[in-house]
Amino acid sequence: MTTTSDIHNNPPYAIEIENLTVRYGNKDILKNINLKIKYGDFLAIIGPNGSGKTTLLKAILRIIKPDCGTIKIFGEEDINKIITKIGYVPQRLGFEKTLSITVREFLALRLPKTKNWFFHRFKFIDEKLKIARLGVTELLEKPLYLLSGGELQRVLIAFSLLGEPELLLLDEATEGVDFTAENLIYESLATLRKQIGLTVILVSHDLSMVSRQATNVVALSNGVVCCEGSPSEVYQSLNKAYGAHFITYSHHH
Amino acid sequence: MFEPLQFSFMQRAIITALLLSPICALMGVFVIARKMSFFSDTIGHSALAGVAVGLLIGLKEPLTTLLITSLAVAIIVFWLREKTELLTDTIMALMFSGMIAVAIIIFSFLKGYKGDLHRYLFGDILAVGNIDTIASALLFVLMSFIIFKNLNQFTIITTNEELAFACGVNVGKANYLFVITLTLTVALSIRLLGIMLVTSLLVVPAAAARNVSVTLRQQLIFSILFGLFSALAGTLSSYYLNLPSGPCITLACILVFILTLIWKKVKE
Ligand SMILES: Nc1ncnc2c1ncn2[C@@H]1O[C@H](COP(=O)(O)OP(=O)(O)O)[C@@H](O)[C@H]1O
Ligand SMILES: [Mg+2]
Repeated sequence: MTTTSDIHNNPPYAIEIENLTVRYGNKDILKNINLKIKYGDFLAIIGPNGSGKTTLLKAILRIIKPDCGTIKIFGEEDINKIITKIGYVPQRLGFEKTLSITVREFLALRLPKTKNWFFHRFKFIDEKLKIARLGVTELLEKPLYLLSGGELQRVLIAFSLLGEPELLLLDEATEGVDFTAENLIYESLATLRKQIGLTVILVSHDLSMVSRQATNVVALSNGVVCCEGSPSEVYQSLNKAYGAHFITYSHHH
Repeated sequence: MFEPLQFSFMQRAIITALLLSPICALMGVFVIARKMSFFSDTIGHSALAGVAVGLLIGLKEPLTTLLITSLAVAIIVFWLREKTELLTDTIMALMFSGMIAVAIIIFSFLKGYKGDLHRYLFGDILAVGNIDTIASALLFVLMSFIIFKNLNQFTIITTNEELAFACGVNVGKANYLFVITLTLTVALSIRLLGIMLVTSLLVVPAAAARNVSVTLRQQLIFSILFGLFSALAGTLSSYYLNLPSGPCITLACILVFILTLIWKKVKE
């Protein structure tokens, strides 16, 4: 029998989402979403453009306030209590040319206990980056706004990892990334899951790439979960229901 | 060279210039990065209404009403931006023109304030009183402390607000703190620079620093140095040439900017 304190110390799921609804105006963007993600799982969220994938991640982070439902992360409903345990890589982030920050300075903003980056020596960024193995070390002295799409994605992932997250949310993190870099990213995620039991939620519109690593897949369509299960289960049922184009439409975008 | 320092009004003006310029220059780096120069202009110009109201109710030194008006306008713009669908640019244009209109109407009721109007519009070192110097010194201490304490937050909300949010930064609070810091800086610089030109000391040294630096740290350091130099050079030339201080400081800033541009081209 489990007592209340057991549950509190050791919540059974890393994330529990119940009856989540998000509206813009009177349009339901997410409808009645229920999801449970275990510690150390790798959840892939797939679905066509506009199906609500980004909205779901933002709702989990409470960047967008849900209209209904509850979201518990590590057993906690108050996002402020666990936000430091979360890493987030937003979709299609661009940096303005108006800000002349280098990759090194940018990364320093994410170091835990950094008092003031201006007076920081930035030394142990190098140490940490070696562990992440994303090939970011060569980019450190470049201005952030000059990075190519793939370089920027790797820097953003490195940024989120420097916060030493226990949960990582990635929104189309491998979009515009070449094959080598994509492999680097997936390898790095695999290592972290093995080493620290990192829980990962990755939004993608390419099921075939994600399948290699995902433990679970959720397919969204028009704001509802239309299919969930292991990668092969989801692949099969989507194939049956919509034909192959649902799974490979990423190549047209 | 040291002759102007015999006069207490020049001592006050120079001290004020040296206290305000580094704060302006520091904030300017973030103002440029966040594309907020029109916002600073809006705050600055709205201050004219504060001056008008102050004179209308018979204050000799309308610094209080000026500060209150600027803060109110800044907070209203920010609040409208967050709570309504209106575009930030539109909101600012409304406030900008509305406040100027109010100010001019009040001034037309006040007879014999032409001199004051001129001074507030273009800056006047003779007008820098003890109160301004003390306020600048207080601002210097307070702002240095706030900027130092919150440099990480200010930097990270400047890169991206959603990212900042995910890093555990209270974005709303950090934004208000930034805006209040900026407003106080702008409002207190008006004596020296005048309403018309107040953004120059904010934006131009930071833009010049941008020309000669790669890292953000370099940009902050160069911006402070350029700000200090321009403010000092401008204040002194205002004394020697018997011109309003605002245009002198502004032209000094622009001269520095042009030099950095040339330096950049030569280096390439
Ligand atoms: N700020 C907004 N206001 C109104 N509708 C929005 C807003 N942001 C997103 N949407 C709508 O919500 C839907 C889901 O968007 P999103 O979550 O970004 O989809 P995805 O990431 O799956 O491509 C889309 O139809 C989009 O048009
Ligand atoms: Mg999206």
